[in-house]
This record gives sequence, C-alpha cells and structure tokens, in this order.
Amino acid sequence: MRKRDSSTTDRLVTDAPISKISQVIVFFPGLNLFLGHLDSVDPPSFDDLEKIMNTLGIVCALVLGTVFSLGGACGYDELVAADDRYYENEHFRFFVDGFATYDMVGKPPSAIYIKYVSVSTHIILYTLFILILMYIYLVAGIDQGGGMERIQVSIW
Amino acid sequence: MIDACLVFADGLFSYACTLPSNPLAPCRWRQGGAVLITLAIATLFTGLSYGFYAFGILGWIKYPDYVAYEEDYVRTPGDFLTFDSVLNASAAMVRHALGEKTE
Repeated sequence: MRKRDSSTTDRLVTDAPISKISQVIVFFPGLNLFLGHLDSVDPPSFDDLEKIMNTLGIVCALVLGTVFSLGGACGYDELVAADDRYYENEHFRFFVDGFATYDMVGKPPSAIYIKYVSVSTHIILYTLFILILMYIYLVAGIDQGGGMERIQVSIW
Repeated sequence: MIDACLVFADGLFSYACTLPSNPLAPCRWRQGGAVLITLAIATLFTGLSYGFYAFGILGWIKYPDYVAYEEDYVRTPGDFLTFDSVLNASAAMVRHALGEKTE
C-alpha cells in the first residue's frame, strides 16, 4: 500500500509565507478561499494575477449577461398583475415584504424586482470597471520581457 | 444601505487609483493590488446576491399560480432572506413545466 505523503500539507499549513493573523484565518472555511493570493508575504506574480483577473472577468460577463436578460424576462402586464396580487392577497404581501430589504418593505413586487435588477447590474458593471483598471495597471502597464521588468518586479 | 456600500466602495476605489506613484510599477501589492482584487471579488458577490434575489422575485411574477405562498409556508419575514425564496421560484418553474398548479 502506498504510504500517504503528508509533507505537502504540513508545508502548506506550517511554512506557508503568510502573516500570523492569516495562520489562524486559514482554518476558517470561506475566509481562506482567497487567502493565498490576498495575504501572501510574497506577492503573486503578474501572470498569476492575470489568470485571476481572466477568471473574474469571465464570471462577470456570464453573470452580467444573465442579469441583463432578467430585465426583459417579464412584461408590463405580468408586473401589473403581480402588483395587483400584492395588494389583494395578504399572504403574498407578507411573503414579499419579508423578502424585501428594509427600504423596500411595503413596495410592490415590480418595484423590488426592478430595483434588484438595476442594483445588481450596477454593481457587476462596477466589478468590470475595477477589472479593467487592474488590467491597465497590472497587465498592460507591465513591461514583460523588456528592460524595465526587473525594476517593476522589485518595486512590486 | 446599498448606496452607502457603493459610496464606501467608491472611496476605496479612488484610494486605490491614487496609489500608483511610480509609473514603472503601478502599485505595490499590499497597498494597491490586494485592495483592488478584494474589491472586485466583494462587488461581484454583492451583485450576484442581488441578482439572486431578482431571480427569486421573477418566479413570483412569472408563475404566480405555481408559487407556494400559502399560510402554512409563511413563517417569519426573516425566513425569506434565505435560499427558500429562490428554491420556491425554481420549484414554481418546474411545476409550470410539468403543468402542476399549487391550488
């Protein structure tokens, strides 16, 4: 039977180049997902960052496509019918109010729906702006293979 | 609240934008890169959660006859800030596909 090699795990837990706080956080699921990239003593290489940004950009594009399509997923008549049901059906009104955030309690479903779709679109577009900025600074602005690369990496 | 979050994120964003003091190196990792990528991940998940809510409401609007919002299902308002609403909406779409109404 093949002996289990635990040296890799031991090295990841004990000798990882992370700060002391992160040595605690690493045991908490969820928080430790991006820890290796966000709190490393040694900064990630520009190639690693580009891969992360590519992944985030693809996820953003997919989510944005889905969220944009939500705006046209239901028509005016359906929204009006849902609002009428909201005012006529006590259970449905309680249901919708329980789902809404505090500033939308008492508003009909059409208002909540449009608000959430617009906010979601806004925030994900914001993510894309951040990614574009990061691309400009951390990918396009890096002189890969050029004479300035060594200086850039040393400052980074 | 979401407006306050956006203003806060905008402040962080502006802070990160002012960091590159050296044109050779856009910013240092600890000061700029980590801030930006954390911000990108945080905003992406926030947008995802709002899209998630919108999807839940879409089920109520599109397929009202298939959504179970009966009295026995309603517990407390806080219960619906969970996955229940989206599961309910997804179940409504499945019921719609199967032609099975809740009444």
